[in-house]
Amino acid sequence: MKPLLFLLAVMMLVACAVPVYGADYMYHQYRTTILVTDPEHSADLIIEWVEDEGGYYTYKSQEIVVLRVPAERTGVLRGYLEQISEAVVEVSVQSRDLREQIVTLRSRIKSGEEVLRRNLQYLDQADVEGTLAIEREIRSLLTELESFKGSLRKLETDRRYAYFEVVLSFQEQTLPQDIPSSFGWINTIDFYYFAEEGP
Amino acid sequence: MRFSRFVLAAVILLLAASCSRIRVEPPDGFAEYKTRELWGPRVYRAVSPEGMLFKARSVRNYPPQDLDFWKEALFSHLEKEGYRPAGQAEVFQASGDGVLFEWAVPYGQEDYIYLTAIVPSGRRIAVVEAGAEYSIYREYREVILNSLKTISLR
Repeated sequence: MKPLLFLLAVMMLVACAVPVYGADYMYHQYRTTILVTDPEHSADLIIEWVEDEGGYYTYKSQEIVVLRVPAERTGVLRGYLEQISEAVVEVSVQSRDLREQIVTLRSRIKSGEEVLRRNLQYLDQADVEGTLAIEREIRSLLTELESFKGSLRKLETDRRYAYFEVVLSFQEQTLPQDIPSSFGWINTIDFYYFAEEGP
Repeated sequence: MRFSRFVLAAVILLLAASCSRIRVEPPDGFAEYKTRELWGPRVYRAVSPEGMLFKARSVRNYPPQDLDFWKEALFSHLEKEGYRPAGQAEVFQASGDGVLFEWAVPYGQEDYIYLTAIVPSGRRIAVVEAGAEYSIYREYREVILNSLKTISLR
């Protein structure tokens, strides 16, 4: 049990180097509605674009696509959405500064690792009862550290990838009008007559 | 003499009548509306379990024109009426060259796709219409296109 715990603890300490991605701590959440004639095709186009840009999608349906877009590419995506749609009906953005949460988590991880390091030092000198108590402490610390690191990873992902919800709305339109054609048979082509005539 | 004229006239009439009949393989999964017409139906109808309609008929190619002419005439007319294209025109091969358009139309609270296709063939033009709510249409689009390729006039 002891060597396994020791190995785990050492691995945690080695992995303690917390990555830093640039100086921007903002997390952006976008929600946009676009009008398209073919929602399914448009969803495929958007996903293809996002994957080419290094992002990914988390949900896709005929009504909505949820994306994680590299933060620096969100402006380009907005341009792309304008390009593939009839109109961009609305765009809303919510931004959150993650700095405080990230700094807090980093300091908790750092102090947790410090306690872990000290506990490991005590482990060799403790008697059986002491060893068991330290092992319990180490186990609890490892769980706590894992949770902090998970939260930190999530925040780092949020920093790097903006959250983008694209609502695919079918193209708005008014009802077609009945305008006579010079060609008799063309006058018989009418969706509403066709639909209401039945089989 | 009078009898042979009568027979000739009857044959011509039958031929003329038979020329306006349409032949088409039903879209896979659709139920056909059978008719008792001897030479085949003038208007062919089929319907999917969800109620998606498929209708094919023939009209007179008058003034006699080719596919490009009727393609332009049909597209510009429906667009002028306010139908919105839901994609590009697609050319397909049936008994002759044909073209299809898909249109986005609001119907009730739902969004429908309305397909219109034409296949000019000599003095007649095969005209096909199909339509359904968007998701149902997507489900049957492929079988509708397969069916269009089997259209012939006789």
